[in-house]
Amino acid sequence: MSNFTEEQELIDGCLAGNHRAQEALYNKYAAKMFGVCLRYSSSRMEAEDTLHEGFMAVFETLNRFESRGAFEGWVRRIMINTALKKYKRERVYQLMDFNADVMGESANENDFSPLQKMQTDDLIKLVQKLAPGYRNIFNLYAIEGYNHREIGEVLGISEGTSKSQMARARVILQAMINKQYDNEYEQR
Amino acid sequence: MSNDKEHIDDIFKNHFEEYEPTPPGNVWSRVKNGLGNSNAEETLYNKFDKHQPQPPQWVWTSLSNILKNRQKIKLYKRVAAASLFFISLSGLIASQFAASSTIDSLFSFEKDDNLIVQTTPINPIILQEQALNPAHTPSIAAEKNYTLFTKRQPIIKDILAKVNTPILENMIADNHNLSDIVIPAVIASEPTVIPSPEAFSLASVFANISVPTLGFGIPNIPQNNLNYRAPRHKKPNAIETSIEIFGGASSTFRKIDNNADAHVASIRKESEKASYANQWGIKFNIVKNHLLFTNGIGVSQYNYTGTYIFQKEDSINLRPNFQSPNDPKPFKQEDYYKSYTSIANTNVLTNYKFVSVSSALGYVLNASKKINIIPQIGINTAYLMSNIGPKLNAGKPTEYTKMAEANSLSLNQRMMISAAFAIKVNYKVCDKMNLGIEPFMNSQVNRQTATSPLGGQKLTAKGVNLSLSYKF
Repeated sequence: MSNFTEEQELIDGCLAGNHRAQEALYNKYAAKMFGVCLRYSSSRMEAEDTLHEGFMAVFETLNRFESRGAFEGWVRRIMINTALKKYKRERVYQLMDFNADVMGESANENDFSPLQKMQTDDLIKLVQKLAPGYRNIFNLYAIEGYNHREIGEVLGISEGTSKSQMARARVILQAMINKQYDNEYEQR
Repeated sequence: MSNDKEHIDDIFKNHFEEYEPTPPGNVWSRVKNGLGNSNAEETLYNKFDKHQPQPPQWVWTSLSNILKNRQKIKLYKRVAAASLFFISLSGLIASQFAASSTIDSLFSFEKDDNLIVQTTPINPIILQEQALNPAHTPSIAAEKNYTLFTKRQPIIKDILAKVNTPILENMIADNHNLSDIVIPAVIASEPTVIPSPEAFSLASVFANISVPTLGFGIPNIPQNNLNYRAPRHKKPNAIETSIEIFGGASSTFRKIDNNADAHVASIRKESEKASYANQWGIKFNIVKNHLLFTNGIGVSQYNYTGTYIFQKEDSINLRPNFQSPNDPKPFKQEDYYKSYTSIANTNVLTNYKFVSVSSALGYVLNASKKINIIPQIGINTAYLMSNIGPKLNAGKPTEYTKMAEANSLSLNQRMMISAAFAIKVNYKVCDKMNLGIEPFMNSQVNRQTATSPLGGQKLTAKGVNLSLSYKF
């Protein structure tokens, strides 16, 4: 396995159907991609499914990878596409499915102190609590760096919708953060 | 405010950029298994294999049809069935040749140096998405795949035109894009290029062709079951026979002319009310090509109530009218007179008993699998057997009277012929039995000129029969 040190060698090995190369490739990117999948999923189990489907797609389309680009970015895009495709397939546009009591809380967008204190796992859980539509837009915009026009194209929504939902996603996240911080404060 | 928004976004982004949780180990196992099975699962041949009736089954079916129907069908149909058998057998042999080659024999193309047969599975959906994504610049490898796709597409169309099997159509109808069908063929595990496009098809098309079954129908053959016993299909043109028992109630009425024989009575009244009746019997039905021919025999009884008022008392003139040829007893004038006076102002219940023979033609309309509607038209011939009845006193029979005979039809005109109309609705209880309900109307067409003073009017009956028929 350790023979495949170079990325291109890994790719070539995978293209040749070498299972060791495939496993090495998987091991190299699985953790990072699992983090991506977790952000686009509502649960860990769903993220595992996405990771599985995503790597299947990676291996099945590996021959079309351009060696000029970054392989990691290509794999990441496949993961994101897989997650979005899964979302589209299930079509759970539950945009109003967020926790109403969370929205009832006053979300002070200027108060970032709790957010700064939170761990990544906590943030992942917060993102996972978002309704799928909000979650996808938030991930694509805030994390992947898509603009709203691109998000509109990817998700099949208008640019304005993307903007407004991104704003609401922020508000919801902030409200959830505040609520979680308050709960922790009360427990102390 | 904008900075605040960016701030929260950045916090998330910073956290997530280096976030690398360890996935559970079973994910790789699933990926590995998926990679191992993907080729075998997605090849087009496998898809065909799941849906396609196999040539051996055609052979078996056609052969069993020949054997089972050898005594029942005409010679030319037997010849045609034998031809079907040999065609199926040829298809079986041809299919063996087709099966001995790889799937590429089905979708073969001329070898082209510009084409590369991929050895790695391709996800057609990803391929399609990327092809449609303008932001994506196709790689060299992708271009080659597109080339493959483009060149194979007309072959697919050609196959559709030649084969015309429901299998391919179903695959497309099942939301498979053309690329879904083409690309799995491209990604056969080993690159195998077959000599020419023409080679593809003769054997394969022959093996997959839909063979007409000469009216035997195409049975739903269980896959891979050569022990399947071909169902005994009745030919659509076969004669279907059934025997039926029927019975029901009806109402009859007679249009009354209030013109009494002046020799008998100066005034005659008969009830114009519908009287009750009933009928029952047996029918023999023959159906061929939806046409029904039915013959039946039955009995019926009309219970007819009339009110008679006689005012004339000329007994002498009564004699020819009241004398019955069947009555051996010589009538005396007093008897007639007595008889005459006794029936005056009396209700009389007359029972007309008939034996009837009916014939009708109908057309069988299949309303559903279970229900047939059969409009019918025919002739009902009824022979009057007896028409005696009691005199009624306050609604109760008290004594018999010859008034019934007086009201009878004459002996030489006992035959009553009616036009019969009916609409029968059959419900198929099982393959052999039908339950039916049949509203009908019989309208007498002959006028039974009366030798009796009170007969001679046409009778109309309307009623409903229930029936149970048994096919044999």
